[in-house]
Amino acid sequence: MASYLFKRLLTLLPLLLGITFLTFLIMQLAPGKPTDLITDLNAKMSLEAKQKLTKLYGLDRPWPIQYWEWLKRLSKFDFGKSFKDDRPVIHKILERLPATLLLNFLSLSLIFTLAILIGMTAAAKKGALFDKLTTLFVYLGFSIPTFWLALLLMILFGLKIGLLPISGLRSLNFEELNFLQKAWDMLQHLLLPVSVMALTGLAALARYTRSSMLEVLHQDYIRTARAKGLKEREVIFKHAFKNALIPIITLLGLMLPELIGGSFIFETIFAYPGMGRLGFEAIMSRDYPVLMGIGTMVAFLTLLGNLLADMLYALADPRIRYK
Amino acid sequence: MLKLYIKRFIQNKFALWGISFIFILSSLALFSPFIVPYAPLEQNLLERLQSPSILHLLGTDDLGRDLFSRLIYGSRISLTVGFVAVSIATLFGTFIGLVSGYFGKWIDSTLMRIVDILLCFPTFFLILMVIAFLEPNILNVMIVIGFTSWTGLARLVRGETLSFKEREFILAAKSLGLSTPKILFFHLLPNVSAPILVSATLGVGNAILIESSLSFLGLGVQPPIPSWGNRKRLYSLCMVAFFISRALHFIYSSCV
Repeated sequence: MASYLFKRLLTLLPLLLGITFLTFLIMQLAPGKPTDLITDLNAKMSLEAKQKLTKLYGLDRPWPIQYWEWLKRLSKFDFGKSFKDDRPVIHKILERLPATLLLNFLSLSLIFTLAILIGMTAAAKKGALFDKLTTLFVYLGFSIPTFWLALLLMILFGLKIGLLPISGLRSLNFEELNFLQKAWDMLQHLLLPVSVMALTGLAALARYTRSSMLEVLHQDYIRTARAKGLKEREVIFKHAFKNALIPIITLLGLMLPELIGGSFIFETIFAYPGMGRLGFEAIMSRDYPVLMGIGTMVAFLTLLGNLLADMLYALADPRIRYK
Repeated sequence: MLKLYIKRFIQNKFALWGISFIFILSSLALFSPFIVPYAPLEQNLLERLQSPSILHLLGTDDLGRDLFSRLIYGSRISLTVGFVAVSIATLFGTFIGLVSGYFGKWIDSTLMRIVDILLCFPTFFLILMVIAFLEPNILNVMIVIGFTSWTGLARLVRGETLSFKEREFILAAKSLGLSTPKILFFHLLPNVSAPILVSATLGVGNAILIESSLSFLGLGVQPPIPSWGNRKRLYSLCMVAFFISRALHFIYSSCV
């Protein structure tokens, strides 16, 4: 197991390199320069100052050299400084990262629990009212454009009913609250973004759980388990569940990039202080170092999630051994 | 062969319903100038923000433009984006998948590593970046969506190709001395077409969704051109239309 883990970690490196290279390439091939925003809109900016600025940012050299320089700095965990406010990129990312991780972790766990519950119950009572209702719900969930749903929910709960805050992560008086109130405040802020994000993946995963569960329930060992007089609950949760879990884990690993990509939209909609919004702002203002940093970070998280999914396989199915 | 196909198609009630639905939708988009009561860009400031009435079937927006006309016109743009983007993705993904699966060896491993990289890249980040750096217009949106969504299909086609290329009929084709492109496109391709078709049908809806989320962030098709993703009142309306048609699509496909 340990040697397998080591091997897998080694294969992460070329993937990570590829991703950063691609990000860098897109940024460099795009017309225009990040300094344009400062120089072109400023009439007092002389040509000389413009060249100075380009040189300061290291943008005057050919791009392969720039990429190499960036890699060299990365090996020392130095992501450079933001073009916008000159703060180290690593600080900017680290202060936003916990919020994004919290959001993604919460919605991921919500997806996982709900999807498994819905899918398993629907499979155990195939054709019953619950199954039909959830099937309908799943199709509705599949088809609804989620960011539009987010807007509708904001209007309903935030404006019409006034129950939930519609943006950010904390209220203005956050510092004055005690611990319990702080937790409650954050929970209120998280409720809408988490549930909307969860809906994106819930429908598909519940459907897959159902079909994978149905397949398992037809196996011989389930009949054996029933024949030896086990309770139905035990058959489903102990014998069938573990075997049905494997395709679900695969799907979960595949959903991760989508979920993280989704945070770019949802964090912007909900004005949530996370990495996705930082990334969106960096894209709009062409903050290359921040963009590279976020690209690397996002890719790293995704790869890590995939690795975790692979590890979970072994937990769910002892027959799978990694060498 | 074709006759048999048409006969079987006509006998399937669901297929007929489906084709007539598609026919109605596309003729709405195609003949929209003759259907809509108002020009989609025509402003009438005296009649802004009206509720649905006989004059304005779905009401008007904040500039007094007729929402029904804009919805019908918007379907043109959205359908174009959906179909063109999916065509790019399907052609590209199928080709890469076929080549990768058939030739194997270093070609396969190089192509699949590239797919690996793209697969763990959050697609939306990539799309946002390219669109923001290039000019956000309909052509760029279609191209970018197309070239970022071929990876899954390439994987699928490669897997199918791997299993089919060992079959006897490919061996027979080879021993008859057929050229490689002929084997690839006339003998392998028809056999791997099922997953391609499924992924293409699902892809159209996804492409329209991506376009509308880009428009939502101000990076998609630019106003005043009506696309289904444009904001404000039209936006909600289109999302409802999209929601209904997509839900119909899924429920329908589960009945077939």
